[in-house]
Amino acid sequence: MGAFIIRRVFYAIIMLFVVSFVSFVIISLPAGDFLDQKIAELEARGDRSASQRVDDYRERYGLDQPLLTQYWLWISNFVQGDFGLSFEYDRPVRELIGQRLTLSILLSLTTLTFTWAIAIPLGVYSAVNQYSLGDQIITTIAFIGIGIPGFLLALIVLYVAIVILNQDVVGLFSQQFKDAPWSLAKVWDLMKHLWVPALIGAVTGTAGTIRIMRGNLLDTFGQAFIESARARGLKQRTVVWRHAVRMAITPLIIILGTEAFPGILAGNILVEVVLGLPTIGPLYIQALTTQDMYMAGTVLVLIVFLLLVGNLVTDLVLAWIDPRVRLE
Amino acid sequence: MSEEIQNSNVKQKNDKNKVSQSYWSLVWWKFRKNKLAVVGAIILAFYYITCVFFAEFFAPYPKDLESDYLEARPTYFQFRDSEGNWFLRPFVYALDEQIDMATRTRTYVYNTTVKYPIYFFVKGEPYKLLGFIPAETHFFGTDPETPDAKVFLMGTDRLGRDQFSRLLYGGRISLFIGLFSVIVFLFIGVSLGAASGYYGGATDIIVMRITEFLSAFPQEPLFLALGAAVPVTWPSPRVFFMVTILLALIQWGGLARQVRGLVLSGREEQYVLAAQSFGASDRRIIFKHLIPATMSHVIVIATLKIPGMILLETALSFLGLGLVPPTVSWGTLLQNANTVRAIRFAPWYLFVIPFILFSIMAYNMLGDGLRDAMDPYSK
Repeated sequence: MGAFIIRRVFYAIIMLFVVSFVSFVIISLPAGDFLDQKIAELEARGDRSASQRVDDYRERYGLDQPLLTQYWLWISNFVQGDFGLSFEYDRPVRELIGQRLTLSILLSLTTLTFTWAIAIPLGVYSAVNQYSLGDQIITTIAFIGIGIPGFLLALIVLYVAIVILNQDVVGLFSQQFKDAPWSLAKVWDLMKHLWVPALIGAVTGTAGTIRIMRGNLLDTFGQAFIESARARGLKQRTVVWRHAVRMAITPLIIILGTEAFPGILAGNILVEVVLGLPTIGPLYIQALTTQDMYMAGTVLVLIVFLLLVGNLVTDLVLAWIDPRVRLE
Repeated sequence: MSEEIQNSNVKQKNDKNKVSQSYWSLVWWKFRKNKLAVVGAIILAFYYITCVFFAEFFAPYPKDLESDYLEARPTYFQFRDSEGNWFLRPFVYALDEQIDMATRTRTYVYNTTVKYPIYFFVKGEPYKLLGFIPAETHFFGTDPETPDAKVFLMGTDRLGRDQFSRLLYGGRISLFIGLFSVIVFLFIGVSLGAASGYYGGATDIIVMRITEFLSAFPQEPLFLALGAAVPVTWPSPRVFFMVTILLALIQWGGLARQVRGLVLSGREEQYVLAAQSFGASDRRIIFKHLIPATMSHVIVIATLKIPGMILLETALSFLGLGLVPPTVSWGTLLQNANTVRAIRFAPWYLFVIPFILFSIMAYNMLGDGLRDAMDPYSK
């Protein structure tokens, strides 16, 4: 087991380096230096000290050096927690991401809760009453749900809210709470906004989860221990929830590691953009549009990092559960 | 001797006609029985006819024709006028401009006293059908004798261009991108997967490492970053080409792995061993035996991949990182709707959503039906 863990961790670290380098190259691909633009802009305004500051940045991040040097400067600071500077905001990337991280985590947790609260009972119902009318309806809805992308759904929700209900659903706070310090009223205001993107995320995520849950549970029902539980005269509810669901839910744990974990940063970028949420997704898109390279690069590398860590943890958990995996 | 063989062949053939069918005809039989899949195929045929092949004919106006009506509301077909009379021939009301002094916005209201009847197969702006046949007939439109008459089924945009026409032209680009990128995706995925499975060794290791590397990236953020890296100064055909390639490049990994698996097991089949012992070249074995054996699987994957490709393009262009105007695609049309103001005052920009959703659902229905049909021996 020890050798297995070391091998996997080593592998993940190597992968992280390669991926971060490629991310850096992709992000710095766009022709034209963002700083050149900035300097021209500042000089047009006659701001000489700012131009001096930009030159300082250029030196500090080695922007006139070859790409490899730039990458090395950036990544060696990165591992120490200095993600570089957002040229757009003129502030450290770390600070900007930190500001939005709480809300991003909150949103992804709420979405996950909604998804599972909807999907697991529906999946169980579908499997227990296979081929019943309810199962057919759930399966059909799940089939349609897989096809509907979140950001189109978000646009439809916006339309219904704005044009038909005349409600404000954009953002996560009402106008008066936007810059207010935290208070009970602000939390309540957040709750009133948060459920919309969470539900949109849940609706698009539910479909797949229902399918997985239904399939797994149907497989589990065929196994001997379920039969023995029934033979012992246990109630149907106990057999289903205590014995079958407990087994069938394991693959969802894998999803937790490989999808929900990296989803903290990039769960539903497009939905967040459409609804104008103060989370990390829109920050990433803005950074890509304005070629704010350290900002975009940091978000991309952090997402990859979470994905790799999620995969690693999942692998380890699986290896712990199933010895065949680690002996392979 | 040879006659005998021929005879027995004929006999076998006759037997076949009685009891068995070729694989593809079995697939066709099974596919036809799946109503959902057939509906999907019909919807798609409809899309390809109206958007991809004959958009010029079905669109009442050229995609860049600017009218005097800016951000005008849709003029729907009417069959019943304000006095309650029914008409067999649909008509549209004229639009009157109104300036709201308080908010300084321009709105349009229906002028129910002026009716423009709709004619089918009317003469309109000249165009080239399929790119080379000169024609002037449009599927529907208003009387060409009255130049004031306009029909905007789905409203107009900020420059007064007819949205319905633009949606048809936009569908051409979006559906094309879906199809082209899947073809590139198939080409890369199948060839690398087959090579990896057949040759093994170093080829296999390299290809599999690349696919692992690709799967270490989250797909959507990676695609957005790559899209942003495409220079904005590029001419639109080049951007179109680039987006198509990128879509395929980030996704081929999964397909390559599946094809590799199929080829690995196919390599051990007796007919392949027989071909090898006859001295067939690697190329012949790969292209005549191994790849055709993976085709049913690959076709299903490809069909189910197209809607994802269309959506990714739409998302990218919607964010302003992919195709940009003047290119008309569903994504660039959706860009119009990305402000709260647009949704409040010009909700007809959202008509692009049903266009996208129906095409995606149709592809999913078709793909799901194909998946079942490709395995015609199961009940």
